[in-house]
Amino acid sequence: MRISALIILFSMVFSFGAVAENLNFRWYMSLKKDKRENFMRQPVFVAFSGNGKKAYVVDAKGKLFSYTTDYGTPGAAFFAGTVLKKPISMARIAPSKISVVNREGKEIAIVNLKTKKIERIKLPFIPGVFYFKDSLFYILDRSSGDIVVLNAKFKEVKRYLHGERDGFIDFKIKGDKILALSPIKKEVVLFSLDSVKPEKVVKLDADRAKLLIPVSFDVDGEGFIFICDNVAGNVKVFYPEGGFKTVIFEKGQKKGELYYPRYIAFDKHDKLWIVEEGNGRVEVFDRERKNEKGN
Amino acid sequence: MRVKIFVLAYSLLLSGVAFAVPGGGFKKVVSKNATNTFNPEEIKEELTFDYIHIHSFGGGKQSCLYCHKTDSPSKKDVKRVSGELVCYECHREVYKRIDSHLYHHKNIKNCIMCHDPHQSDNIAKLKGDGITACMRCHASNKAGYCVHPQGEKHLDPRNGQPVTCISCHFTMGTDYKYLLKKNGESALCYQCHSPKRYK
Repeated sequence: MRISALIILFSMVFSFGAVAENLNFRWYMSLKKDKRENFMRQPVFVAFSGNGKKAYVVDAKGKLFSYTTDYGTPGAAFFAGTVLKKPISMARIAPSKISVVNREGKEIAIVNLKTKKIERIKLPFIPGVFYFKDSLFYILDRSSGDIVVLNAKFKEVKRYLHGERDGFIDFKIKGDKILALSPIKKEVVLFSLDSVKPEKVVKLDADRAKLLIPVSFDVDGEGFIFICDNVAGNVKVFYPEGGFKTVIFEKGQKKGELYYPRYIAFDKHDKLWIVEEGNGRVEVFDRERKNEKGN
Repeated sequence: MRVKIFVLAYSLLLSGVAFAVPGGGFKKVVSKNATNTFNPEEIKEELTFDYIHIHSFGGGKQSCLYCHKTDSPSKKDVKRVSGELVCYECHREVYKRIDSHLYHHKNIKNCIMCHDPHQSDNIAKLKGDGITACMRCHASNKAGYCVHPQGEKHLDPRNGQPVTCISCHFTMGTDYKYLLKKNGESALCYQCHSPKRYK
């Protein structure tokens, strides 16, 4: 009895370990057209709705695409030329409101989709990626390299400093934490949302990984750090403490290959979304499950 | 006769200027129109940082001093590191990868020949799109002669994007002649011209 219980316990631990280190991704779908069959040209960012059912892709050539996250069914597209001027990131800030960061003019445009009213807010810095959480705008300031927090009146309330020399190039908000990527020092810095003092700095083993140009990153549920290497056309995976684990995907133009990927993010279903600027598409990858047919 | 020789020498000199790699200042390269990609136009650009891609900073206005020696930056005061352009300081892995390949573009380590170090709307901060960036030099010399259809009307079946020079060539280093991405005898062409391409 004791032995069988031990075996069950051991197998449970072992199977947990297998799930924890499941880095076998398989191609799930490609998103490259709107519902009128128009191709994306230069996608640079993807955001998800609060319930995780919709994805919004930002095309820097001046278009926003929407898709369902389950089957990639294209929804409405937004391409008002007067509003979108080199858009680089966006968020849905209310059921009928979207907010877009335009690089040209260095501004945030808030669009009310019902009333068609547009509000433009000039920013005193070069804006990068941004997220909206608890009525606050978290925006990457590309000129100083810091993460700036603006309130609903667009007044700066907080600033997460990058430290010395190279600024952050991407950041993610996970629960009550902010994680930010330093591309030159090759570090991931962890902040708590309520404190601007870094909690932890993870130094990535970049030499072993041959990390060329890191531009984006995300962290999965197990804590593995996924770094999007723009020039290498792949994603490098690191252990939660920074040790190099493996490289996933290859450079190329065919299905499942990456060409100048710009941005990566996990959705609520643990699928990896990779925005490929070079191929003008978004590749979505799912994890292979052990109990699936053919595995 | 002397006049003819003079005219010939003068025209050769002028064409030599056209062959030279454009170096002075930073210029955005654009096609005059969508169907005339072989005659790109260079427009002098101002540093507005209103572009899709900008170089990473980290010190606000002080960031200029990462690459320039003085507070009034110009192309003449760009730092050099270990005999290379200052790019080497942060992008060593890229240099290492270039050296690991058999073939790469001439003057490959003069990064600013093709890349704009400040701002660009193109992938990899190229000075023009996948055609015009190359045509700045190759439109007027034999190395740029290409019969493959290119441009907005010819879409790459692999990704639906316009076919450009960089659909087949990779200047940063390959192991195949003519900087091709794959073996030009078959593997490269089969990417698009094989009935099995979608498999």
